[in-house]
Amino acid sequence: MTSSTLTDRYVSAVIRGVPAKQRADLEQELRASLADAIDDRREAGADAKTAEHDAIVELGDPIVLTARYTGRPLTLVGPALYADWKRLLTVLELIVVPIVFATLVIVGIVKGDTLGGVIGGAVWTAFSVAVQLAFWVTATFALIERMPSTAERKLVRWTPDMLPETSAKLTSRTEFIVETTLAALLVTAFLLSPFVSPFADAAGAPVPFFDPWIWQTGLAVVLVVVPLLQVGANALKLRGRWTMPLAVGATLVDVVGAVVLIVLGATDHLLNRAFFTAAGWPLEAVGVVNVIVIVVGALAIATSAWENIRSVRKV
Amino acid sequence: MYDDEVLATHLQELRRGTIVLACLLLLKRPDYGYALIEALDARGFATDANTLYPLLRRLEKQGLLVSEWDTAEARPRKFYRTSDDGAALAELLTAEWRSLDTAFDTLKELS
Repeated sequence: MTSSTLTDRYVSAVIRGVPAKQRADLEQELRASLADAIDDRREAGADAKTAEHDAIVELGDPIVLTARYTGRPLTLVGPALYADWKRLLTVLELIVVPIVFATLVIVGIVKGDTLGGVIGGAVWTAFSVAVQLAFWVTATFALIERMPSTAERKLVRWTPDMLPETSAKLTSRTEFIVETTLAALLVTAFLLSPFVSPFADAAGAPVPFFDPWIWQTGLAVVLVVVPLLQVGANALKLRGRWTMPLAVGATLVDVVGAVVLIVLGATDHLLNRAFFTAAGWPLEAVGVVNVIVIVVGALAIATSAWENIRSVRKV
Repeated sequence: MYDDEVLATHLQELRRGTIVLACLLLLKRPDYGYALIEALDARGFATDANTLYPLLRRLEKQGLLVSEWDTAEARPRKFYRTSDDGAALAELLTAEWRSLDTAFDTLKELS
């Protein structure tokens, strides 16, 4: 028994992907062509081994050659489907992933798990969902790409109606000024609250309006940075410089801010009860504010992704 | 200034369809794959084996070439010959080539 030659191995690698009834014919033709090429090289002075090696190198990667014989695509998703693939994947990822993340965070907080654990778990699951989505959408398109019968393979016929608006007015100037002023006032009040208060405790220290827990845990940084980033995002929208990566970033910032708000409301850590007692205000108001904050946070997550992506379409 | 790679790409794009016409014209006399590469090369139509072999089978599938195995010699070879349809297409493509040539000449006269 002789071991298989390089030619045997190459020919069998090429014909493996060819329909069975064409295999014998193709094998014989390919062997004859290779033998002719090898003979020529040997007549030119090459030794048998080099001649065979070079003749096979000239024909190249068997996967590519098989694809050329069968007319199969050498791309996972070709030009006919690429636009549909990209549009669908982008929309799905931007809608599904934030919803999964927000839902897991809210459910985790309601169940009373630790904040770190909730966010860590939600980030990991959202990442897995993003990867799964990308895989299955791509796998489906690769499959459609390989279906032979569909001549008109465009899934969605593109029309000019699908073009995004070009208006630079993503957000009006008045809206921008009002939102910026409001953010500045809130951040200033928030930053001053540990130091400035109409009431003092027994030791003479000011009684802050917001729960000191926010500073102790470092969440105060988020409550200051998020509004500033949102103002920056609005400024970019106003100038019409709004892109998909910016929209994703702005949505993430909104979600982080909203989640922190929800956490503060759910754990009763937004307002300082001592301040309410000192002011003689009813303590029930704290609970009402907590609920309002949770609802506002949930609504912010729900609208943020839609709002930011809609702005991209208007650029 | 363009580099060699840009030049190579443009030349390849321009020559792409010409191999089909050259094959249809050359194969009025039957020939087999390996010999056809050399014949094309000798007439100024350099082409790679891994492009030409699949092309021959595609043209056969489209009915533009017909094939026959020659088993008279020690090494059996598949001979391709231009069919009547192939010859008609070659006429059409040649006419198209000529009209393009004329069109280019007109462009040059204008400039």
